[in-house]
Parts: sequence; structure tokens; C-alpha cells
Amino acid sequence: MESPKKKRISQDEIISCLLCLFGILLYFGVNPKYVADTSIFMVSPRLVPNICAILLIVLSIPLFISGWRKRKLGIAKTVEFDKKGVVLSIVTVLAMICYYFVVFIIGYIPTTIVLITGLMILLGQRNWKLIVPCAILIPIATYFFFSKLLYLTMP
Amino acid sequence: MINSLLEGFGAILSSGTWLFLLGGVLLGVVMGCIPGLTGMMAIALIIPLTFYMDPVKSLALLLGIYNGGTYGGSISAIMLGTPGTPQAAATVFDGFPMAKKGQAGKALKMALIASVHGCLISSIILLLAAEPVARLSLKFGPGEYTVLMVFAMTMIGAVSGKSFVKGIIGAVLGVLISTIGLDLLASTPRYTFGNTNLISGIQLTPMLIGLLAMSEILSQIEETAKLKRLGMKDTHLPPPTCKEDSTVSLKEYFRCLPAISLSSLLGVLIGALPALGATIASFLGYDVSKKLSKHPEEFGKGSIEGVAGPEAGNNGVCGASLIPLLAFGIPGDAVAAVLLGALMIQGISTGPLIFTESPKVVYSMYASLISSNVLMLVTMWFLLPLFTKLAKVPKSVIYPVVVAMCLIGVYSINQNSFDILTMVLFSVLGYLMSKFGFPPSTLVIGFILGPQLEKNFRQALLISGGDPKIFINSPLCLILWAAAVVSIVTILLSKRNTKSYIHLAEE
Repeated sequence: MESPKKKRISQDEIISCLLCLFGILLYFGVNPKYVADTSIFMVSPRLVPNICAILLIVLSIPLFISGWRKRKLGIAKTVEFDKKGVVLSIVTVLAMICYYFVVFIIGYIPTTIVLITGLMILLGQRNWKLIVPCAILIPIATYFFFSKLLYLTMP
Repeated sequence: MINSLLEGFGAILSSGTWLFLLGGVLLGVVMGCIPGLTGMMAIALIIPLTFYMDPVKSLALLLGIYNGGTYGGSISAIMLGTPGTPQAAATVFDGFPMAKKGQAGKALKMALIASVHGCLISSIILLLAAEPVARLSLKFGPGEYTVLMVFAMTMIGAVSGKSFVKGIIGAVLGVLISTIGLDLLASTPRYTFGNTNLISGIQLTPMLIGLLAMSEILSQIEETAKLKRLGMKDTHLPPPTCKEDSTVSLKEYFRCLPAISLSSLLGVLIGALPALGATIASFLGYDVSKKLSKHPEEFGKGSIEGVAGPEAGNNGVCGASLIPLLAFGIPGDAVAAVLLGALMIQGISTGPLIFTESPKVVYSMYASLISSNVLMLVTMWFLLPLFTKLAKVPKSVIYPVVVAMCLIGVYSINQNSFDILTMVLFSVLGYLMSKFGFPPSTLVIGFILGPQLEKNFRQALLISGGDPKIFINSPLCLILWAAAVVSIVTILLSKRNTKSYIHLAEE
């Protein structure tokens, strides 16, 4: 049985409003402050950034209209976020950020072993016969490849 | 030309370059056959390694990945009913039904034969057409180049999924991001916010890996969790009922040959125009095969021609998309855009001068593309059973390994930790873009084309003293404006047709 049509703003309408605001902020706020203007025959470093800002404002209009039409027709799609999936994705991003800070303190091989092990367990892998060889062999192999063959200084 | 081509083949066979080519093909097939990973992702991941190779070897590796990745998507399309790459979407319609009838081996081998045909025809046309087209580009001034870039931007439509407007917005954001750093002409800082790491702008490779590889991994992690929660499990395909189910007979090959030939030529035409893309080529190839078939009623239920047509079409794009890349410096599709980035990293400027400044590189590219087909046919014919198993490797093993590879790959370029942060930031951006229907590849295209577009645009205005009529003065400009309008209309119409194919197939 289909759920009843709900009158609410669609995601495209929200995104188009945000884009329009971003374009306005860029044109009037960011560009004058962070992009120098040294005009020669209208050709300035600020020209293309200003054109991009104007295009974002202009393109937000058809996006808004498209979102509004779809909402009126009852075919507007909303983005579905799977809670557990989003949490896993966020944890993966946080793991990468932690990796960035820790790898230069502890070193490449131990940090990468912990990263791979942690992510495999997080993603549901419980077979230790698979986890241990992958987590140990891959960092060692890549360390050897980058430091001995490509002569890179690894963390 | 023949002598130069023979030298190109000589360069491939010498110094172990053919090993890089073979490695590229195998890596491309591996990445293409695993759902969630693509050949474009493989190219983005390998780019840091190409820093340390000479141009011939690095291009052999990348072109091998390009060709292998385009074919690899058909393996999971046939075995799992999920296209490994968007270009293989049309292969699912008949490939998966064939597999459900126990004819997976036949479908895979026909996909391989059709792919090799498509790319071989495409490579030969590349060899014949690129240099003459490049000579034409010598008549282009900054005004013409600007309009050509605008035309190239319309290719955004081909990769923009369902919404053309969202694709253009993604490209505009890419152009905006490309302006970060020192201005090309005035050398004044733009959007650096006082950070010295941003003086030279956003680095291409961390951005590519974040947007194309990592963001896809994040999406796949979320998708995997959702499928687990819904209790979805893999079902097994039935084994072949007889020996003929695992191979392609000569009769079947000749039956599919008209569809393969015409689809390949369609793929070449679509690839040569910087506006369309392999996905459209595969759907058009499917349509053409159905029209040419003596048994169109079998389509959708497991027709071998329904596998041959789309595969010939999407691989027909491979070589042809390099024509605008080599002749004008404009990529013919999103993967060619990434290849352009790889060429820039090697210090090779594409455009008409590449034929005089780096002829060895050009002819070795031709030889690599032609040789990759032979290598792919020979190796994949015997290794297919192994690759079908790879498509089923648990994602809980693949994704952590790819994450670790991304992190170290990005660091290895400049040994600058800021690149890791750049990659993480763009992976989050790419994830959110995908979620809300903005394909990350459009941002990549805008980022790569942005500097050229801005340089030519501003040069044209400087030459004309600020008069915008320079963009409509010459006949070439008018032709290109007309071509841009035609391509937008063609893309919008083909998107509507593509939706109807999907509806028909679902019925």
C-alpha cells in the first residue's frame, strides 16, 4: 500500500536554496576578500570565480523548479541514509583522520596493521585466518615496495 | 606512420613494458569485475606510482587498466546481475539471464570477444584519425578553444546520471576548485586563506583518489551494511548443463558479428565526440543488436547478441575517446579525463604539438591499446574462471585493503601529509555528492578542464580587448556552438530513451 503524499520540501529544493546562498556568499563575501582584482580589459583573476558564483545562482533555479515539480507530482525522492551504514562510513572517515595523526608518531607498519584489522572487524569479518594474513602481509609488502623499490621515506 | 607504429610496438616489447601492459589489463579486469570498484578508480590509485616510471611504461599500464576495466564490468554484470561499471549496465539485461540458465561461461566469452573487437576497431580508427584531426586544431585560436571547451563540458551530460543540471553544477564546482592557488596570469593568490599548502592549488591525485575511489568505498560500506540488515544473501548460479554452455561456437560468433561490427562503429563515433560516453554507447549497442537480430523476442531472456552488442559498443569508446584527448587536449569521457591528468603529471602536454614533441609516446600509446586487446583475449580466455571467483571476494576484505592503499598512495606523491587530509575531505564531499545525485566525476571533469578553459577564455578577451564577439566571430566558433547545442539535445533525448530501456527490461 502506498504511503500518503506528504507536503514537505524536497531535497532538491533544499539543495538549490543552499547552492543559491553559497553563490551569493561567494560573489559578495568571499571573492572580494580572498581573490585579488587586477583588471586589464575586464580580465581579472576574479572573473572566472565570479562567473562560477553567478552560474551556481542561475543553475539553482532549474534545480529548484525540478524539485518543486517532482514534489507536486508526488514523485520527489528523498535520500535514504541507512543508520548503521552511515555510522560505519563516519567511523571509516574518523579512522583515516586518526591514521593521519598516528602514522607519523608510531610508524607505517604498526598503524596500517591496526587500521586494516579494525576496518575488517568493523565490516563484519570474523575469520581470523583471513584477517591476520591480510593485515600483516599487505603493510609489509607495500612498505617494501615503496621504500626499497621506489626509495621513498616512509613514516 | 607504419615505421612509427612498428617503433611503438618495439617500445612495448622491449624493457619489459609489455609486463606493465599485461599487469594493467589484469588489474583493470580485477577492479572492473568487483562491484563498487571501477577501472577509473584503478587508474586514480595507480597514478601515484606512475610518477616513478617513464612515460611509455606508465601509459602502457594506464591504458591496460582502461581497456581491462571497461571489459571487467561485464563479469559482475553477468555473474551477479550487478554491473561492475556503469558501462556494463546494458550487459545485465541478457548476460544475467544467460548465467541463470547455466550459460555464464558462454556469456563471459562472448563479452570478451565483443570487447576485443570493439577496442581493436576503435584503436585502428584512433591511429588513422588522431593526427589529421590534430592538424585541424592548429587553426584554433584562444576563442575557438574556449568554445571547444564549452562543447567538451557538455560531455558532463553523459556522466551526469539522471539530472543534467546537477552534472553542470558539479562541473562548475570543479572549475571553481581549480581556481584555488596562484592566478595563472597575475600570480595573485586565490582562495588560499593564508595556507601555504594551497599556494600551488589542490593537488590532482589526492582529489581524484578521494572523489572517485574513497567516496565510492564509503557509499559501498553503507550499502553493504544496509543489505546485511535486510538479510540479503548471495544466491548461487546453476552450473552449465552441457559443454556448449561454457563456450562460444563459430556459428554463434558469425551470428553476432553484424551486431558487434555496427555497435563498435557506434562506440567509436560516440567516443570521438567529447560529449557522450561509454554508457550511452552500450545502450545504443544493445538497441542496434536487437534491431539487427533475427530473434528480437529473445532479448531480455538471455540472447547472446544482447551481450555482444553492448560490450562492443562500450569498448568501441576506448580508443576513440583518445582522439579529442590527443588532438585537442580534451578528454572524450570521464576516464580519458583521468588519463589526461596522468599525462599532465608525466609532463606531457596534449594537443596538436604532442605529435611533433612526443611522437614516441603517441605511437607507443597506439601500440599499447592494440596490444592490450591481444593480451586481454589470450589471458582472459583461460583465466576467466579465476576472475569470476574474484567477483565474490568478501567486501570486508577488499575495502580495508583499498583504504590502506589509498592512504599510502596519496602520501607517496609529494610525501606531504596535507595530501592525506585533501583526500579525506574530497572523499566526504564525493560521498555526499553521490548521495544527493551529483556524480563526483563531473567535478573531476570541471577541475581538469577548468584551467585550460580559463586560460583560453582570458587570453581571448585580452586579444580582443574585452570584446566578447571573439567567441562568435569565426565559422569554427559558430560550428562548435551549434555542435554543443546538438550534443545537449542528443544527450537529453538519449537519457529519455535509456530510461525507457530500463523500464522495458524491468518488465
